[in-house]
Amino acid sequence: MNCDDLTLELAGIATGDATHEEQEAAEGHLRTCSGCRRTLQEVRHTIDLTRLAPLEEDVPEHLERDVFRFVELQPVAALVEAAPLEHDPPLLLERDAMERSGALTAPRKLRGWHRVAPVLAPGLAASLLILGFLGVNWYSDASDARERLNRVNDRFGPWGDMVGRFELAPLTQSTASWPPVQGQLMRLPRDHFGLVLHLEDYPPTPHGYVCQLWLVGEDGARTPLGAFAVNGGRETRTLPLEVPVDPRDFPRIEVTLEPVHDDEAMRGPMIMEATLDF
Amino acid sequence: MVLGTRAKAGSGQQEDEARLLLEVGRGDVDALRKLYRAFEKPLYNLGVRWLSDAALAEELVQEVTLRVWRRASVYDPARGAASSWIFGIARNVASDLARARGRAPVPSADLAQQGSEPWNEEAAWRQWEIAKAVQSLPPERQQVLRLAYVHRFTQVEIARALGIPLGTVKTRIYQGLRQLRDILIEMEIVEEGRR
Repeated sequence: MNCDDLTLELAGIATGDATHEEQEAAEGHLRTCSGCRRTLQEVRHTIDLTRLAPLEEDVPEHLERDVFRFVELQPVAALVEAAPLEHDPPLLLERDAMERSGALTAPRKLRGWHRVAPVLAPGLAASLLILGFLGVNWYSDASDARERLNRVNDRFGPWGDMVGRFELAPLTQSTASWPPVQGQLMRLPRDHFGLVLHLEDYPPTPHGYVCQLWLVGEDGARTPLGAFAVNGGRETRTLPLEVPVDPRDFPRIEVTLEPVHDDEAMRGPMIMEATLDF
Repeated sequence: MVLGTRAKAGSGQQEDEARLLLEVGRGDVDALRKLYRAFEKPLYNLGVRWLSDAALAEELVQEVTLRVWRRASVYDPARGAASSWIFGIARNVASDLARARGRAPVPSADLAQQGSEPWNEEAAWRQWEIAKAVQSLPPERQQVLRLAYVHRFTQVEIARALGIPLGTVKTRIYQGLRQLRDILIEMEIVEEGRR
């Protein structure tokens, strides 16, 4: 065997991959050829380094496509980042501004609006839903309601119809003094459903807890709807929740007081309940 | 060893990466794609080793690419090689992901067997550079080297798997190792004359 013959066998010899005959022939040559011995050492060292390379896993085929989809969205993300949206406006800013401009009449009785709400068309509930989604608390007397509703509908389009109402009654001794929570079931576009809760005068939720809403089936099985917490004062607020199922299939809705946790297992006591009859 | 001084500017591969990164900084998506293809596989595999989670490794690749895209305009070639810069981003993102998921970056099995520290940055950097060097080889040489030394196929098994003559496998392996060694010398991973 000469140097040229050995060249292609070096990698196999370095890893013990050569046949017995190839190995013996190579050793004979290597005993007399310092150049080939040096090359063999270089090959061994390069193989050792190659084995360190983190290349054992094939990259998922979709990864490049997915990554570059995100890259393409970066101009949009940059615009959003630059948009002046870091602060939420004060809750009553819009109403105050409209009152000052004369577009709205100042409310005569801030806490009385819900008493007249039941006589309003289902559109009022729809407007509440929209306002809830916008994070805006907006209340006024009945004389302004239709005008506002028309403006809202003009701006956003109608948001479904009210399917029915329910009243969540406090259950425990500790919550007995709480006012009942009025709720409405809304049918949203594309056969989705939404709940609107009117949490007027609802006391602040204890720190570290949330109120978890459940739809309860005939068999007692619970479907989680979402959770809410009331922080701060007792101002009027609406809570819109999009519901993943048809609530008309459930006879009961319950609220439990849950410690904040990642899963939706029921741990805490039931504090409110309503019978559904839509 | 300081990341920024790990590699001298001047090697062809490093100059290519620096040029691509500067083009990325000017908003060139094609340049980003070329750069991405050079580091995708090493980064994904390092992610799997560090985070022991394929989904997190994908997240790592995605986040590193986005950061490269957003920040390439501030890259200064005078302050270090492009590869070091990207590796630094990868290390930070991996740490963030590990922290977020309550895990610490872990060494590869080989490093663990050698009794390395839980996070051996020098070893990780070396692996990253070697993997990128392998990635820069012609595809047919890359393929046989991966099969032979990453997946530990014998030369006969490679010939059978690829449906090519054994002699072709030996030639590709030898040529691949020689070319890889030259690249590693250029990258100063291997010293010239080192055996």
